[in-house]
Amino acid sequence: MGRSPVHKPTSNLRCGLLLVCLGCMSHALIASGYNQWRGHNILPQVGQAGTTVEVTLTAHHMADPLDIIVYEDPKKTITCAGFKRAKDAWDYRINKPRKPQKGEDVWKLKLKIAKNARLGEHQFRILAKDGLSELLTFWVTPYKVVPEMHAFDDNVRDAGRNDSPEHAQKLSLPCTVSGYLPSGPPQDHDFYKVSLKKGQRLTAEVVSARLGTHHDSGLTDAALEVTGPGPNGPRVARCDDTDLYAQDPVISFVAAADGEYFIHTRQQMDYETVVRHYLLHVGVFSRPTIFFPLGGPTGSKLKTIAMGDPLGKRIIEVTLPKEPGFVPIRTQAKGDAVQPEPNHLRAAAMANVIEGRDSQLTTHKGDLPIAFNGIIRKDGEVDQFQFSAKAGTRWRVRVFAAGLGSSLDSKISIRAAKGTDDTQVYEADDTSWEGLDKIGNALRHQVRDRLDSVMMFEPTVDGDYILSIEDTRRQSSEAHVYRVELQEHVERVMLTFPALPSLSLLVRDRLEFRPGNFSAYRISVVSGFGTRHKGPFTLKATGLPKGVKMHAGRINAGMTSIPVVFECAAKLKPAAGFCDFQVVADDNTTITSGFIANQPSTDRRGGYAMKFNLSRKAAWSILEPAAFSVTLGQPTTALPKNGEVSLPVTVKREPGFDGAVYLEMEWLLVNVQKQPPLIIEKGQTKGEYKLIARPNAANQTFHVAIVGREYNEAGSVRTGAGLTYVSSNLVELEIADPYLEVDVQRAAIERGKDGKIRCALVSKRKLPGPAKARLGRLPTGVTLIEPLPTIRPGDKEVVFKIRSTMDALEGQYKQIFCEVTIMEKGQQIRQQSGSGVLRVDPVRK
Amino acid sequence: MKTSLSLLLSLVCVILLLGCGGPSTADETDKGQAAEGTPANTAQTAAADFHLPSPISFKNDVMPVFMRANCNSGSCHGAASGKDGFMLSLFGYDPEGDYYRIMEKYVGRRVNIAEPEKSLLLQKAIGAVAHTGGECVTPESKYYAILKQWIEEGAKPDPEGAAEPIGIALEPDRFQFETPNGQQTAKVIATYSDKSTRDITDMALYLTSNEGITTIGEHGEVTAKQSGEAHVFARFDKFTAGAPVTILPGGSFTWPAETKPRNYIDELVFAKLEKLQILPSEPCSDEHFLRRVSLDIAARLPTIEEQDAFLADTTADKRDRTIDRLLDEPGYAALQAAKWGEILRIYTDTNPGSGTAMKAGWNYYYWLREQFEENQPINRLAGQLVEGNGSNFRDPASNFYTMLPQGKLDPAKLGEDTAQIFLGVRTQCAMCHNHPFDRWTMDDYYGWTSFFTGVRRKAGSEAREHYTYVDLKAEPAKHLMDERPMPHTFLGGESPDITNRDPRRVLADWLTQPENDMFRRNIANRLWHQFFGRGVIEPVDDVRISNPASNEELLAELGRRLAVDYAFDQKKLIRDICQSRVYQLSASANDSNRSDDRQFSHANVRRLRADVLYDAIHDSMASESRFRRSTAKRALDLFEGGRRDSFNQYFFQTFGQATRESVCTCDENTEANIAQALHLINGTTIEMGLTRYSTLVKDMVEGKQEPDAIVTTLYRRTLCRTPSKTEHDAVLSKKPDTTDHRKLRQFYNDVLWALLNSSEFSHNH
Repeated sequence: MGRSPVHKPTSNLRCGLLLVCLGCMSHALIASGYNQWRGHNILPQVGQAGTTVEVTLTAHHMADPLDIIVYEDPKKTITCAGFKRAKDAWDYRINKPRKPQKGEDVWKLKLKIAKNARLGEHQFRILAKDGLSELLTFWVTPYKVVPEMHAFDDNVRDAGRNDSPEHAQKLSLPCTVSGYLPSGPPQDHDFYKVSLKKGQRLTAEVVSARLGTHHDSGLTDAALEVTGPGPNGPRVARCDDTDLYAQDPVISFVAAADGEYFIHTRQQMDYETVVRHYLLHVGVFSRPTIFFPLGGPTGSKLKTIAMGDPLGKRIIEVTLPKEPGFVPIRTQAKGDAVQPEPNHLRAAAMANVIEGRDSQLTTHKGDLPIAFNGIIRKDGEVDQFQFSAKAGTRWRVRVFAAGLGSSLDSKISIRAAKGTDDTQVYEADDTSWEGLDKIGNALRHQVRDRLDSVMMFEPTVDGDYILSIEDTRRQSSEAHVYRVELQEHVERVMLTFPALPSLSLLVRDRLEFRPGNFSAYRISVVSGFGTRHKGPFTLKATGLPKGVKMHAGRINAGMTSIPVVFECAAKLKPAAGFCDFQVVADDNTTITSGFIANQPSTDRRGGYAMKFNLSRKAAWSILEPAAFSVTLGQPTTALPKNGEVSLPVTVKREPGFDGAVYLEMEWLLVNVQKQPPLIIEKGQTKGEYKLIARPNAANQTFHVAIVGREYNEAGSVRTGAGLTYVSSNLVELEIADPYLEVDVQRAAIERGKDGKIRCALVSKRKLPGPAKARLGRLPTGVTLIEPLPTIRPGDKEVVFKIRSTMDALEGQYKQIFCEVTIMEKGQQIRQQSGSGVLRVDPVRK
Repeated sequence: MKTSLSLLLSLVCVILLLGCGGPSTADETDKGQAAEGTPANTAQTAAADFHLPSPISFKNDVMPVFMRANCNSGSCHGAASGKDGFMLSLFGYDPEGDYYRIMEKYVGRRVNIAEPEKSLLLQKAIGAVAHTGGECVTPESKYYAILKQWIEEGAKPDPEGAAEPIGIALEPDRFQFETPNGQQTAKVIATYSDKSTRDITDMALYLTSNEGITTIGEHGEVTAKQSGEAHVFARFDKFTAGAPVTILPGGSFTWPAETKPRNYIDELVFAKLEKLQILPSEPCSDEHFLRRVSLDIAARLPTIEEQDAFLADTTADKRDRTIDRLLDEPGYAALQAAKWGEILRIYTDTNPGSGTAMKAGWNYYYWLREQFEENQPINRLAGQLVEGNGSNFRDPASNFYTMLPQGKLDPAKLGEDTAQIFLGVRTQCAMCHNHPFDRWTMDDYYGWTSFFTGVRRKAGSEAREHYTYVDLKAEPAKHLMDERPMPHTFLGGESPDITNRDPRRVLADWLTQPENDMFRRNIANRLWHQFFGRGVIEPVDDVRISNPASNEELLAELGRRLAVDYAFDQKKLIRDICQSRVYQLSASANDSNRSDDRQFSHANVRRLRADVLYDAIHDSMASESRFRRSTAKRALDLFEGGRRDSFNQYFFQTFGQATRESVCTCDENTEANIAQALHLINGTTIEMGLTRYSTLVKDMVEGKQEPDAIVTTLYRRTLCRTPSKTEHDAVLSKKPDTTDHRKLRQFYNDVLWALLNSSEFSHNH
């Protein structure tokens, strides 16, 4: 009956060693600046309109915050009422205060929220002397903000906890709870109780995934459930995902009896290990899930039916703006609180056609553009609209459904009606970012809007056509609402800061200018949906501060990005604002263009972002002067294909800075390669940066600049926090044909003997003078015999003497090339050419 | 658990696949020939005994010779690339192709019409020229004669519209021997499309379901070897026919009058037992019943309080009431969800490229569990899965099409899995050739696959979400042989009109209708398996002609009751099963039923499922389970099994938890092995529970409970019974004579450890 005492306690020594190792790793991560966001987060991320709130800002390398800049009219939004340094940071993993880490700054930020501030999400950045923060978001609520009890310490075991109906936190309606779901296990459950009268409608809405926590790598996939009346009452409602906001749940129900009802929120699954925050709007307010129709003509009064309210459908009248676009609307019935999160409708300069209720085919007699509106009410139903169109005009057909909260996953097609001689069938299901006039990320991202179909319709004959729309899954409901706009195509170019291919997040996605210095940014040029005009374009900027000039080269056809250098005048004071970019076509074609950033604000493992922060303005800032500047020498000659050119780089340091500088070109033409980063060490000021043109590079002129930053471990390369970036001046380069083409001829050599390799020369461009030549990729044991030959203008052949030692291995050696070094106007140019074969033979007996 | 039938089938497969063999096989064949005078692996019959038809039909006469002589088996010319430059279709699924390869691919090479005896086909077959397969027929045999005559008649293909076999019958259709060692000869009659019949006894292949009980010779000689029941089968063309063989033990037998049936299950099982002269075991004790039924229905051990109440209850219906109570427990739904979660392959990935995100798996599991909590009819559940549409988050049933494939959608695989899950039928073989042991043809396979060719997936509202939908314009599956589109066809059924309808919805309607015998029998059989450790057909998901039910009448009635009487309310069928005397029989065998493992004459001792065992261990120790990144308290509640639980993964793997790699029930291993014993002895599961998390013994010792009481408590928490006097005395004789709590705790923990390591604990009995 005995047993072996095989279970040994873990060695304390081993534990100690493990802790030491873990400590080393964490230190290494900090030193490398991983995840050091300049603006890491603000908590709470909410405030009531008309109040001033104090939020905690956790940041990195933000020693001197000055102000905030908001993306809309500050008079109708939030303003900064001051910063105060906080003593401690909060460690969410252990739910305790802790000392700020090296490079970490914690601030108490006072935000004044205008009384008439737009409700919902606001975007802003923080200006500091040494940098502009990432885009941060803040929610304005019409309700009083109630913090969750023991929000940061749910493991307390006293009456204050809210982890069960018995300990639920009592709420006064309406309110917005600022809550917190710590990492588990155990899984955190938050309970709130509200008193309701029979027949009263309660709405609870979570804002969590939408908070966007890309700085913390995740989102809260929250679930809501309501029980009652009474702590042991039955389940009244529950919700996980919605068509409105994907992960964020919304519940709206009518109380069946007087009593206390319990709202339970938690993360949907029990194994999430990252800290999550949420807002919970609770109140007696209407929360429509969808409207029908989903839009109308600009400037019109639209009667639309609000659906999804448990008290029933309501017709509301909305005055649509004169400008086309998305229109936020809020409903408020008598006795209700105002709806805290808006729905959206479309306003467009076109007439509305509503589907006929008795027939699947609705015929429109007027002209295009037009918007068709309807609902897929039966499984497998296909709604059809007949209309007339003329040949020669391109129409963008765009569905507005899932992106506005509809349950529809649209699929559309257009084909000629009977009597129209056009066999072309146009079909679309899901769409790309471009179809939505947006730029997304190259990684695996998906948002609801992309379920909405977009396609180009270009009739080849005048006649009648039929547009069909259905649900891809053949599902149906009253909420399967759609609106299809047929809008004449507009040629469009979108401009943005590109994401680094290896990261889902944008680094250096804002303009930071240093007085008396240059700053370089790469700007991507993306054609809009169906746009055929590919350039050339000239880049323009509007809204840049006085004293800042932009230098940019021509955007030639086929170029997807260009380097842009901003020259900032000396002695400018710190400031921040927004600007925009446009392109102008050289041939005066009308092009609609503008800046756009659509940054993922959630970042689950594997780069699966689901919430994006869209902005159509580029943020700029003028910061403190940089401690160094960089000059790039203008090359005096062209860069030959298959050749290499060295550009002189000079660093000028200001007093007080003597560190190394890391230099790299962030942009080059296709088929032009760069050397590894250049580091100009402490005490040195000069270096050379080599560029190589591949044989298939196109002959053209382009511009380059080199970007420099401090070479130390203080900042974060991933986020840019703690690092100062400046650039050189913009220089012009030309790619030209090579001077020579060299044909390295087949040769053989006996081991231990001397031999020759002949190269035939074909002149492609006149040599400016004598050139040195050598052979490359000779096999081991075979060497060139000095002196090396010189090629003079007009030479047809160059002969190399070679020597083989007894160490040379017998065999055939391929890809022997000839390198020619040419001096032109003081510039050294090297080019490689040829691909010969050398055979090493055994010693003859 | 591996069965002798499975082993037998494997052997049959090996025999068929190795038929012509490689060189070593040929050598062995030669030795056999020398020793016995007759080739051991050749198909022979005496020349004088046969009469050949004229003209010889390629399909009806020549092809059967290839089958009989194993020429078209997988390891000979039936291999995918043939053998030694000559290919035949596997088991003869493509007669036209075979004719082409013999006659037309290399004209004149294999058949010499001018001098038939010099044909390579004949020369190879008799081993007159070098042949890797050696001598497959003898020159004197009927098979040689058939081939030769066919060549002499011009080696012609069958004329258009020639009669083809449409079925075979084994005569007699059942065999009964009063004692072992008898013999009877079977006859096989083929029926043709022109309504003619033919004795093809010499042309058929034979096999038996249990060689220990009966064998069948090359000419249909059925031999009774020992008492019991088995089946013999004949295979010809694409048809298999079987007949039961009953062998009585001999001697006198009287069915005990006191063994009265409680319900129809008992009537049907006892009728079979009486026929086989097998006496059932005695009814089990109350203690055994309560433990057995609690584990089987609610996946937990009964508490001491429940044991007390049950034993004190003297009412006649206390067992029935206990069954009802357990069926309403959460453990019932959890166990059902776990079992279905395994065959539906619920497991997830952090890389949700195919819709298998954790959130999807979570929603799928809890939806599935809810179906059992709400006792949804099982046919409705099946229908929802088959026609699963929409979001993998919000329409959980659609995960049928993300979790089963766990990657790229493959209509053929979907069809195979659907057939195996809901009909218990394995169609995989018919993908490349007509099923060798069943009735499924390639036509059936691709007609069934057509229901799934339109299934599509696309990205949903976010990267983890996928929509499943159907493309009504999708083409049906194409036949592997000639790429002709195969109309949507139910397995063994008709081709429905699917115009403008989701074919899966049509399929679901057919599948789940009460009249669908295959579906209702499959579900009933799976439920039966849960309570007896083996199905009436075993394995439960390998239903085929050559694997018949051990009690056909029982399975038919279970299926009928479930579908027709109970409208697919499976709780009602479970109630019938558990209320039956058959379920409540003791595991102790008597002389007559000791060797019975098919007729349910005594309870089958079954090792607990990995998750149930894990929970039972922790329940017994009163220690809290700890799972990585989960707040679940029981292993049975882990939404994708123990796959993600790195704390206890070794336990789950060692105890054979289903890996969810396939829909096969064989994915779960309930066999006992040495690694399991070693883990319970030395592993962390019990050790950490006892030393770190359990205060059961500590509380009893510090509460100064008497040794008797402590030992009894430990027995009742683990084995759910009081210790016998022998056990009691033996245990307490080892008790240290001390009042030191630490030493006493050590001692009683050792007792608990020993009980947890006993096979009585880890098995249901």
